[in-house]
Amino acid sequence: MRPTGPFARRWLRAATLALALAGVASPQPAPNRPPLKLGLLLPPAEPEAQSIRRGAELGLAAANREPGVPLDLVVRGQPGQWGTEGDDAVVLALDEGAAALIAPTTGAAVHQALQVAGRTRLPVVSLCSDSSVTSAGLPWAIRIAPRTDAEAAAIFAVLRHPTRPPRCLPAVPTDRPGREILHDLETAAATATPDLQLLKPVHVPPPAEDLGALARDVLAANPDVVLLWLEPAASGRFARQLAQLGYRGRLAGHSRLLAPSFFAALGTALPARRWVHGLLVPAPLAATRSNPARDDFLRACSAPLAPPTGESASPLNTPAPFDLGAALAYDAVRLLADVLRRAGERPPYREFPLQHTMPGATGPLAFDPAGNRQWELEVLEWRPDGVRVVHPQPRP
Amino acid sequence: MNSAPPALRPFALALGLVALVAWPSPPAGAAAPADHSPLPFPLIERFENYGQAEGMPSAKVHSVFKTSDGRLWVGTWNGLLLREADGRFRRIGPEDGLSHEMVLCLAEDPTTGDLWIGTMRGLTKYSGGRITAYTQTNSGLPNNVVYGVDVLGDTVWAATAAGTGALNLKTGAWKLYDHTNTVMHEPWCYSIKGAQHLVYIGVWGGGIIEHDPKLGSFKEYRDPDRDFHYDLVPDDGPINDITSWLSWEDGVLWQCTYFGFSRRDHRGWKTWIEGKSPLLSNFTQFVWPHRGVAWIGTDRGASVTDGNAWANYSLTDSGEGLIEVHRPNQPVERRVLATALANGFVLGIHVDDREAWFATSRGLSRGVFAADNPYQRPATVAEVR
Repeated sequence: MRPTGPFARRWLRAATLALALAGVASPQPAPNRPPLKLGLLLPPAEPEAQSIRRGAELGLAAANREPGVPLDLVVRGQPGQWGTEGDDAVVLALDEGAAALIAPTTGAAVHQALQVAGRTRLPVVSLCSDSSVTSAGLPWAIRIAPRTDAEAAAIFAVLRHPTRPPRCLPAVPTDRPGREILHDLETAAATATPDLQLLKPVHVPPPAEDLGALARDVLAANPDVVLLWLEPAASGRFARQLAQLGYRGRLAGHSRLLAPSFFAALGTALPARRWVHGLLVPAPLAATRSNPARDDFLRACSAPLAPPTGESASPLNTPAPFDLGAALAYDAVRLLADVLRRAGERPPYREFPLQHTMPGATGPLAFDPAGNRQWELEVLEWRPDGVRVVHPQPRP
Repeated sequence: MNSAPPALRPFALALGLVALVAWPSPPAGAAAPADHSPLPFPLIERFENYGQAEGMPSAKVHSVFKTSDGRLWVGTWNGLLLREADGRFRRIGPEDGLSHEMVLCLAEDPTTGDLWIGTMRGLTKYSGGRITAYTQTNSGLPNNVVYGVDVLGDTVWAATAAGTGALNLKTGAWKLYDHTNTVMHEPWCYSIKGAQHLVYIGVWGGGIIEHDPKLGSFKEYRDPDRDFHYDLVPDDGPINDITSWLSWEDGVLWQCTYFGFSRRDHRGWKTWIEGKSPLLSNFTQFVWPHRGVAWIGTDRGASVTDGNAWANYSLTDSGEGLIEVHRPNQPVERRVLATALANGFVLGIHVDDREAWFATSRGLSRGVFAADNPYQRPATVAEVR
């Protein structure tokens, strides 16, 4: 993933510096205690690979500053045929001897990691939002990212139209990812209050394809809202295409649009950036409110991010206030480090279902018995004067 | 391999009916009778355990299988083991040609006696001491992670992480079945079992696929309520779409999931979940049917049932062996055993009329049957006749 905008390049330089500093500050592992390995499954097709890897490395540095057995991170992901992620999970679990796995944002890769974990009892933390991930039912697997249906429900609670249910058009990937996202969007729409109408989706293929025809299909359907549920960079490209064709309706999307790649793909052209105002994105409370774990993460990133406001209604001063992909990976590493250290000599799967809560850069790391993260989500709206929280309604 | 000889099946059925008719039904609230009604399966009276102290290269055991010549094969995290006549284990590893050291599943070709071995990185054939490895790069195997294997006629069926592969042993040709050319909802095949002229494929996220190779047809069995966490309507179909294992014997299909256990026979579907049935745990991951009785591997031990009576083998917190016997309309009988399963996480089982073997995550266990309630052997069936 190549940084394309000045924001992303600045971000990357800062992160590199932070990594170097973190490495200097980290205590050296005791020579007689071999580090426990965490396996990070990061297929080449993973769209947020750069953010995830950076977040995981920062999380590792933070975890190794804490007392306890030292940890190491093994990253694996090689190009190959369909199903190669399963091979990679095997390499991490068996050849590399990882004590736990972190699975990426793509559902297919996560399920293959879960299948290996089903036979090996290795704990897995998933960064994927598909509801199907925790539906697999592995007791030692959890999802640290918000569920797609929960994110959609948060957005749907904000949408209004003066005379009829708002018409929402989902833009989703092709194939399995799109199918799973649509399933979750439909689940959320079925229980949305007030009602809304989910229009026939557009399935957006890989970036090499011509987006113009699909964007024209969107315009022809005349939606009130386009639900951008593509990968962040693809969402940015498609939003830009829509803007260039004259779409002036509202945009909404999933929390992973809180990523430099989304805003980089929108482009620096003023019309596109101005036009993004009105964008609705769900976000964990930690994206807008200060807490020690979040502040540690932001300091490690050394990025020009939003200052802690302490007020949910305060505007944020940057287009991407919080790289959620990096923050989730950061929290995943710290959480697994805590699980492995708590387990000590016991098999770590016995720590599940996780009973305790620990602070995270993305908010409290608490999980229900099914392994779903227990989130408090806000909905952020981009406006000319900055980013504001529009749901839940801030108190006057 | 694991079913009664065809000629004896009617008699086994008759025996089952006799047992059903003879089943006593005490009045509600009656005290436990001194003499319990007979069970349709033997009870294990003790376990013999084998671990690294007994020469096994790994304590973690994934699969166990007795071939028709009586030899015991054990799949571990560190190679395939053959139990020699003197009780010692001989290891076969990657250095001998095994495609990967972690063995997940085993099946025998009933025609040739060849052993087929599914591993975490490829499929291996053991034929008269010769070992041949099949991988994604040197054959038509769809994916290297082989979760299930079975042999039906001239075809070896491999359930892999990216579809089912079918190797024609006469032609050497492979066929691939996945979500692009069948009704499979997902391509992740986690288990497979030949069933006379059919093949059942357990799909992770796709329920069960019934395939007729001659007709080229595929039929899908999915959880009708599509709810992953709750069995909203009992007995309406597979209990869940994440099939962690399946098996078939004499017209009865058994499905393991992480949310409970299912059976399909000529009467339809039957589902069991923990708490509402004697099933030891909803986390079921292996089933070995033998004479109409399912031996189920769970994360807390093993459950044994014909659908009515149950026996559960688990471990207490202090590691003692515990047996619970559930007879219909009778109080539960609980006893502490002198010995226990090596571990409660049971990944593989092999049962015949003589004994039960359990692959657990901390060693191999042999269950020794109590002498007073054996499986009905052919001689006994003949007496009934």
